[in-house]
Amino acid sequence: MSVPYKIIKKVKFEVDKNDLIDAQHSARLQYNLLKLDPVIKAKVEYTKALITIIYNPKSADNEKKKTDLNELKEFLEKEGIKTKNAKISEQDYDYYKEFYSYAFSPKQVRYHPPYGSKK
Amino acid sequence: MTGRKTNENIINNSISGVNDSKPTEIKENDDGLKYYSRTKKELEAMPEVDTTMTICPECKLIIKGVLYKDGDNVMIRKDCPEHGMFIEKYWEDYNLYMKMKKYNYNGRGIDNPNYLNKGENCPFDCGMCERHKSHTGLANVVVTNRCHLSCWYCFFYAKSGEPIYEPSIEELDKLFLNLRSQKPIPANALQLTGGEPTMHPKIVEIVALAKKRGFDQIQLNTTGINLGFNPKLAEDLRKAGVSTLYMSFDGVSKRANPKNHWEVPLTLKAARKAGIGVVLVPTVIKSINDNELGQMVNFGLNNIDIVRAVNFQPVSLVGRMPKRQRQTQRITIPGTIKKIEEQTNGAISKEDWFSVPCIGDITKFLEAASGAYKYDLSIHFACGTGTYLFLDSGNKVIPITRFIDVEGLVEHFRQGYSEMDGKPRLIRKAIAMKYILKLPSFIDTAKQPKSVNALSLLTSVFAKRTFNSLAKLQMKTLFLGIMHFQDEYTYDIHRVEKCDIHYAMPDGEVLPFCTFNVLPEIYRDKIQNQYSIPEKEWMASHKDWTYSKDKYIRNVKDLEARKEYAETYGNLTDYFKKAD
Repeated sequence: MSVPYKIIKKVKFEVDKNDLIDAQHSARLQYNLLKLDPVIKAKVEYTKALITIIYNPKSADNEKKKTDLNELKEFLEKEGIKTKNAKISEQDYDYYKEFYSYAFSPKQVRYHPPYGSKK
Repeated sequence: MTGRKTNENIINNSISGVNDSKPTEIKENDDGLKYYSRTKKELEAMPEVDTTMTICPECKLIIKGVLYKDGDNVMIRKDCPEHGMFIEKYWEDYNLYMKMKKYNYNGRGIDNPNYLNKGENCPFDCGMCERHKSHTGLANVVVTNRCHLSCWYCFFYAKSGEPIYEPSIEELDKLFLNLRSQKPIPANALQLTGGEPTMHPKIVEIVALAKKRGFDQIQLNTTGINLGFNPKLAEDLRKAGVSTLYMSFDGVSKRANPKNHWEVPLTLKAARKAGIGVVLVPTVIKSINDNELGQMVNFGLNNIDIVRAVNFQPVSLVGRMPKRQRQTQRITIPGTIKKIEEQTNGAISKEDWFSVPCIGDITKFLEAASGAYKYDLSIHFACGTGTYLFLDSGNKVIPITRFIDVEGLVEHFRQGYSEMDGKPRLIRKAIAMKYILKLPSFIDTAKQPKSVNALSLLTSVFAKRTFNSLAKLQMKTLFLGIMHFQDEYTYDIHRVEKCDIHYAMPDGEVLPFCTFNVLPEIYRDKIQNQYSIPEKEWMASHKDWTYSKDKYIRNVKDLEARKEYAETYGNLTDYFKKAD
């Protein structure tokens, strides 16, 4: 078993906040995106009106399920997100370096001092 | 000759007695079902107990959950704007809920979460995110999705045609190192699971590697069947480092436990020979096996030399099922406690149980006394309860609460660490000693079992400032636990963020139990599929393998004829027999 993905895609959609409705609907949209097999990770940030999707593109060299930007747009349209007016930026994403390696060597985001030491 | 025949009759009658149990019948007008038929007006009039965030079981919209009191029950209701109202039993005893709630507290979480995420969209942001409030108490690692059984309710095992998930030793080592690198408290207790973990061809090496990586406690979540037929494997696993078999055990009778009723005698024999402790793990389903809870405890007591615990798991109703079936089969922790009390003739009462996080105050005391962070059990109070049973002379069963004032002790140590807070090290030690010297006042030596010196045991825990001394306690007792994992109907996000049973995933993420299993479509199944091998590819690299060859075929006649079967199920002492 090796890492299933190598270079895949990361796309960001800056959308109209009204389309996201509220924080709870944004969370559900994130869930619905994650259910798609070619979507590796998704994050819908209501406060920023930003949808970020890491996905396995049709151009990728692997045997897993794939998709493309147009299919993702279609999906988002069905979910009530008007992608025609969205600002879209897409880039390559190194799954091994940016996701997998990080997960196995995560940074410390906070620090508990030794017991009893002054804060 | 006559004596032997009489003995055989007793054994046969005991065995048939064990197998005579009938399931609880739920009638259409069962009183327990009325809670599901309230009108909206009635619901809104009921006193609120708590609020939380939850999910719609249909569409997963995050919605408000209201916990309210209906009769003796704490119920949860949630109203989805698209799918309407859902009602479910949350905790079948309001008074017990309020008693357990006072022990709730937040733990330290994980300082180096594996997924950079603030967790605003919990439970869809898992990986572990920085919002999580408990460190890993028990780390689960799936070593294979192959299983030799095909239980109707299980979603874990690979079915014919499906990809195989079976990480190599090198891949598992990465997961072990990841868990051991957690801060501020590295994972220390590991459960290897599946499928059936003993089907991994390198299971012994995997255990040895986990031990080498520093896990103190290694459990195997198993049907026990392979070990029963291969006692040498049990010995090898023990030598490699397995301390406990976490073994499915859905009942004492064949009817309640079709999974491994016939093989349990062989597994217990192998465990005894190897010296591996066994935890019996019944999944409790109302109207299926809830009539055998007392018998399961009794079975544990009859095998107390090797059975360390019985850990009941009220069923999580994950997946689609008819509403009436869900309502009929639902049982929660207090419902389980009540049935155990009834079926043990009051020997184990409601008052004998304590919530898992009540240990928190004792942990904080130990931390303050030792000046070091300790392993924390900061799960939500509604997730788990436990008690210890002691077997005294004359076959008397004594719960720990009958001779140790557990509540008073916990409060005592709460005061202790409050007094130590902010003080220098030497002053803390002096204060700790003051509190330890008062231990005898919490022990009723007249009621303690004759074989136990409770004061000596407790003093050892506090003098050494570690729970390790409790290992001695476990050799003399039967621990009873009840862990209720969630499903979409009972889902409480406050419980999710405090979960300390975590799965280490092949992509490096770490997930709490109730996201991994309740939302498998975005976690368990999704990620394992990414790292699985298609069946054809697996067959190409495993020339003699077929799906059907993995499956166990039982010879019931042969197993029932074995002496181990008669020895295990015949002549069971009834520790809960009513006095004449």
